[in-house]
Amino acid sequence: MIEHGQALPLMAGYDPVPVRHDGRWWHVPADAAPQAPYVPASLAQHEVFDELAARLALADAALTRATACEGAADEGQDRRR
Amino acid sequence: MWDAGRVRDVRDWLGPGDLTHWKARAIYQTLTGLDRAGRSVPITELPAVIAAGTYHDSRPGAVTAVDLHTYLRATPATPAASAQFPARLVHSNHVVYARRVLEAAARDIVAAAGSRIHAATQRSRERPDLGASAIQAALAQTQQRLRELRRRLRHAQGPPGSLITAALDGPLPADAPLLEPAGIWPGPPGSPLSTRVVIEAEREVLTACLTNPTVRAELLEWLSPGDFSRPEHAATWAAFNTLTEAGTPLDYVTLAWECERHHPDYDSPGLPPDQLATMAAHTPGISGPAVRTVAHASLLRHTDAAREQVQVISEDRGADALTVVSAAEKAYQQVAEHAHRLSSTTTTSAVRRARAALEGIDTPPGAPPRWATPAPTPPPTESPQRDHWRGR
Repeated sequence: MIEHGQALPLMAGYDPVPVRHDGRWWHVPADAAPQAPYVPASLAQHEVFDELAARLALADAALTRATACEGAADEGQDRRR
Repeated sequence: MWDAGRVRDVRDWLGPGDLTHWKARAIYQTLTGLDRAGRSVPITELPAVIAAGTYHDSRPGAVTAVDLHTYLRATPATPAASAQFPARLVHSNHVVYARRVLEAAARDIVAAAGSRIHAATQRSRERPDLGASAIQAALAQTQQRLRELRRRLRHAQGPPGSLITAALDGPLPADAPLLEPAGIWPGPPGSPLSTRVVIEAEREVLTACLTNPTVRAELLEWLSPGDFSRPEHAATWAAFNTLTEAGTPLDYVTLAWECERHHPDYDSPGLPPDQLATMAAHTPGISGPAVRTVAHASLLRHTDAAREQVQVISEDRGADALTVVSAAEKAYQQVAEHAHRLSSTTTTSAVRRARAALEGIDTPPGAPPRWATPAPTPPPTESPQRDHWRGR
């Protein structure tokens, strides 16, 4: 579902990781068996994951801006040379 | 600390609680507190402000000027680096670092919330085996012998193992043309390929790639993680690859983080942060012999692995002769592919271009490479404290 864009992972590069699907967070409990399936997160976990997801989204946006600024600065420096 | 205004780029999404170490947390709380209060404090007065403890919840006076100095010295892209390379525009990667800190904190928060979170396996790599006993000429002759054996097998009698052994150890057929090894190496490695020589050469290559983006870009095109003999070196090289492919600014901080991510794949976390910091303090440079040694040793390891594989195949008495010979040919074909990659002209031209870029000279195509003595290495500066790193 993640590959097809139907579920959104909290962070890329992790498996398992909490995922958001159809307005709900799903996760693999820490104490579950190795191949245990995803289950709906509790209300408390929802709040934690929502807050983290919002912060990570802000961070990614800041990172994109910083990268864009750096690229523009590199271009300017090359032009001056 | 170098530029207090940078805190505005991250303060909306990076909380003090995301910083694990209490000293780092106290400094961050002070910087964000000063910014929110609209106060601007020169860096020389920062130790006194932090010591007062107005903006942080740690014990006042516990963070000393020496601590601040250590942080400032350990951070890449500082004014000191700018002074060292005045012609270069020195960027700050503070947003990149902050994003990584947040990610590490998020991992802990998710785990604390009772959820499982693991780094995904990103890739697998071929595992270099130990030892070395043959090089390219022998490889070419082996392939010739196997082809000849396949031709003769149609009429021969006997178990395949003995036939293969006889073919590999016996003389080449008189009418078989002798294949020359690729022989593109500008010269043999400067010293015998002892384990220590190979490890030092690998570290020299990694250092050159850490300190010089041009060298890195050239060498990443043809060296693979499997070309490094030590798991920590292979993991570090894989981290170079990943960061470059993702377009992430590369310095020893981001490299150390990426090494940590590769841990599940390489049975090694890569080189530790303090070693990467020491390497990053070296003068940018590249030594041709070091690059050749790494490539040469890799080829030897692959060849030895193929030889062992053929040995196993030849002892399989359940397989018919042609099947066994085909499998042996396949094993050596894989080595041939490695040999082609490692000994192609790219090997020398890549390093030549990297050196030319480093020295600001133009090397005409086809000109013999000029291997200079490696640049003198200054004594390493103070490396960052390990406790600055989560999970180290």
